[in-house]
Amino acid sequence: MQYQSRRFGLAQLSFHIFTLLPLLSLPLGGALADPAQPAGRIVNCDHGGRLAVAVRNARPGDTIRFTGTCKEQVTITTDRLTIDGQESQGIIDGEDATCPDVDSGNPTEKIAGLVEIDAVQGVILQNLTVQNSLCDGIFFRGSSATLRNVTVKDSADDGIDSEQAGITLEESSFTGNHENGMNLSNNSTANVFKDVVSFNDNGRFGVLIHHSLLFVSSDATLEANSNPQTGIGVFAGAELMG
Amino acid sequence: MFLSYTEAEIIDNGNAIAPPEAGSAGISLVDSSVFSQTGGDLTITNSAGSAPIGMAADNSTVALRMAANSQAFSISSLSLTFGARATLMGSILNISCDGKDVLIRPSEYTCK
Repeated sequence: MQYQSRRFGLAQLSFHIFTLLPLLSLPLGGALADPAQPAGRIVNCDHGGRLAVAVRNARPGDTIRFTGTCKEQVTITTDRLTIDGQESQGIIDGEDATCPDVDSGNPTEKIAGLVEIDAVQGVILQNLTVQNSLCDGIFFRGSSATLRNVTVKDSADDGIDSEQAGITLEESSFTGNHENGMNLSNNSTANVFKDVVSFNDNGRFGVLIHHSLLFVSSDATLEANSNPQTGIGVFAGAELMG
Repeated sequence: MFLSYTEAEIIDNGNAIAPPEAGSAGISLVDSSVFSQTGGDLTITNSAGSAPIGMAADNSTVALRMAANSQAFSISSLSLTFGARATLMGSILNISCDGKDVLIRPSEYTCK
């Protein structure tokens, strides 16, 4: 009886190992590895992957690739992190996410953006859409980052909002946001660096600059069209340079 | 030969129902702000509102140095108020240098 039991146990163990082997090769967080992609974490939000978890666990210099629609708030506190929505233009959607400073009532937990970039340097967001935020689309707090082929649309507040930030913009659009397409404040700098960057059809200003600098490089085109108040508002010692 | 330009297109801004103080301009400069551009293309047109203005500078500075043969430099109108300074150099297509399309209220205006 004991021998039989041991034989059964070994067979059962072998079965489980062979069944689990393919699953053990998968990264964590519902992610699916694509052998055609270079190394790095891959998150599929349409299959249960959590972008926010991957971002929270990232290490400096990591690249996180994602696909699908991620309905969650994402806070970046890791230097040199790259988040890439890939060719399918992954989506970060705020329809089901909350903005804690608005909804939680917790004054110590101040989050102003569906995507927050908080006190870090060298962050890259590329090939992605941020939409339907209940607050700002992307909020920069004392950070530097590059947005490349990024769309921010339909935020309840600003598309981009910043305090003491350095932002590089390439081939991106900020449209349909209920306040301003971009709000640069408190000694921030933004460089429209490459290709067309547009701030069209927002609720108030296309671009609003306070105590900050907006620079438009050669090889770049800035559009600020069809905004109900002013295309570009340059206030309180701010500078717009081309 | 590879040529690179800075381009800025600011059109169709402002809202006819905006209150006067909202300032429906293509570009608004307020309180010691600066707008400068050298070369490239700049188009500011079709602003709407109670007092539609292409560019409004209030106690601020505008310095534009454009190519003499630039065909893409256009500002529908310019308002300089309360000590604003503007220096416009080059071919200023839609701003007449006789000031007809420029509101100057104690300000300084140089058009070359």
